[in-house]
Amino acid sequence: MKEVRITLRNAGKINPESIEDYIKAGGYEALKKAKTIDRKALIDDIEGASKLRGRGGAGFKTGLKWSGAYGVDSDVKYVVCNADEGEPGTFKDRTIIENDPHTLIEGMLICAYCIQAKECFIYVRGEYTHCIELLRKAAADAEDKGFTDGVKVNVVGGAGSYVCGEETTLLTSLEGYRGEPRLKPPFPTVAGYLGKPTVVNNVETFATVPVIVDKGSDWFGSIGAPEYPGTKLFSLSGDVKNKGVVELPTDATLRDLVEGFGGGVREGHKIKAIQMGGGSCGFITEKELDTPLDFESMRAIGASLGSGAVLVLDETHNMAEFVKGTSHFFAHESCGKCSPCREGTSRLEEAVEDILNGGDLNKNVALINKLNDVMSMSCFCPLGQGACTPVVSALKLFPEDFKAKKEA
Amino acid sequence: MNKYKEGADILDALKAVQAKKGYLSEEDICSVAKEYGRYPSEVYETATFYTMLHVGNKAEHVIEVCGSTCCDAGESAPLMAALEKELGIKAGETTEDGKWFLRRCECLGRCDTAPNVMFDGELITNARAEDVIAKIKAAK
Ligand SMILES: Cc1cc2nc3c(=O)[nH]c(=O)nc-3n(C[C@H](O)[C@H](O)[C@H](O)COP(=O)(O)O)c2cc1C
Ligand code: FES
Repeated sequence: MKEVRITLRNAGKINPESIEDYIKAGGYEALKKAKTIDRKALIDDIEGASKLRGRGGAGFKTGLKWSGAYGVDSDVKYVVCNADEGEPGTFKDRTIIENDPHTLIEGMLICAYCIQAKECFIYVRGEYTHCIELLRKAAADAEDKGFTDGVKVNVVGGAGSYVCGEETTLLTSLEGYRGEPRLKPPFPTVAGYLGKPTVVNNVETFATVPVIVDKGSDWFGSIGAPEYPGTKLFSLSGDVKNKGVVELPTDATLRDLVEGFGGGVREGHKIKAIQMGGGSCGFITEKELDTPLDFESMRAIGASLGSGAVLVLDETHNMAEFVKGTSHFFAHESCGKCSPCREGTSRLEEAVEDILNGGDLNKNVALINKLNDVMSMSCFCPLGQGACTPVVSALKLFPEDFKAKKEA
Repeated sequence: MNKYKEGADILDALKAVQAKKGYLSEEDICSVAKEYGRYPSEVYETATFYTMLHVGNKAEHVIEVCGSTCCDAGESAPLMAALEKELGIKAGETTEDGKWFLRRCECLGRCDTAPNVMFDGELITNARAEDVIAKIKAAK
């Protein structure tokens, strides 16, 4: 299996600081082409033929989202790019921006044309200072060259908060408030930034749009898995020999990625677990290596594609220790708005810690299962709803790691 | 024209004020609030929520060790333990002389170079305890 570079087509080939380089590589042609097409027809084409689905984690149909915002009657609309990239194990959006900031901006401008928005925001996680600089320069250059055509592209930095990656929280943060999620519906496409219709998409999603417009939706739709076509960027890390970002067609398998590109684990070691989709997701084992890397196939085995983060762990790791870390993460990142999450994430961390300290295993497991039931039903946003997932998954797949601790 | 600024760059504004002395004082919060036409309490809520903003934290140096999944798998815990020992404080604490603040932070999006450390805002990839300790000694 070879890497197929569609979203990363310019990576390493152009100077990311040079708009001339981007233009020479065919940049901003897709935007020109888009403007010759009827808005609704273009959205329908992206939805129907390209079947592009969001690359940020939830896999929502991009065309459908755009047509939602298109259909709402409002003088003011916004396009917002989610570049918060806070899911542990994920660094692909940074790779896109560091290599080719203009492709993201071009994708956003195409969206702005489609839904008739006059202002765009790129919300970049605060730690990515280099990305923020690159994007600010790129936005200014695109304006100088007249590509923005009256559309303002703002680049704003976050300030360190995972939950701000959730789209409604991101909008609240963008308005300058503490990061708390909002009730859906109304969805952002109806009432988003400052209450106006807003499209929120991930960096990778926008960055893929120009090629789709350029080469055609049918072309894109024919690559990879039929229901989740195209390519996906994977952030490969952990105990593999080669780490980094790899772009693969979505019918490639996890084995292609982990063994083909990652080179497998160190000599004399074996894969124990793979955390697929990001720090908030469950684990799979070597047995599942032949699963294709698309949304539906991952869902079918009870895993998730998520942001495309793939963390490989070898047998030197104790999974109880590992999920203590994930639980700490959620307790730290819970925004505190709803009590099931604020309290539940801390109780979860305590329960895992108690197991590690030799506490009553059965009692703690019962508590964890109960927390999982209650939190998945009653937490306000997916952060809390899924906070128990890694722990429950580790308990199911590696019960011995929890028992061994008790006896040790 | 609106007399006040919109909220979109309030985090950047707070970060810019903070960059001058490493933390935000109550006066800073009030002046940003005034600029944006908000109640100081609202801006205080914002400022205390985000991990990159420090309200009233006067430590001269801030060391953050990523403890999220990939860095955890990349042995960030022994690294943190070594730094705790060197500074004589636990993660989340400031040294008595107010010079050093050590804490765990979450995923920095650099998971391919785990473990990662932020030393006064500067990223150290594939961080080794001896390198960070050497930097501490140099700054002491
Ligand atoms: C707790 C939480 C954190 C999230 N973090 C991110 C993130 O860092 N980046 C991102 O693009 N989407 C993130 N999402 C998903 C967004 O809510 C949203 O689905 C996405 O930005 C939509 O873009 P897409 O359709 O292009 O994927 C997160 C969701 C949740 C619940
Ligand atoms: S887990 Fe430490 S940088 Fe991602």
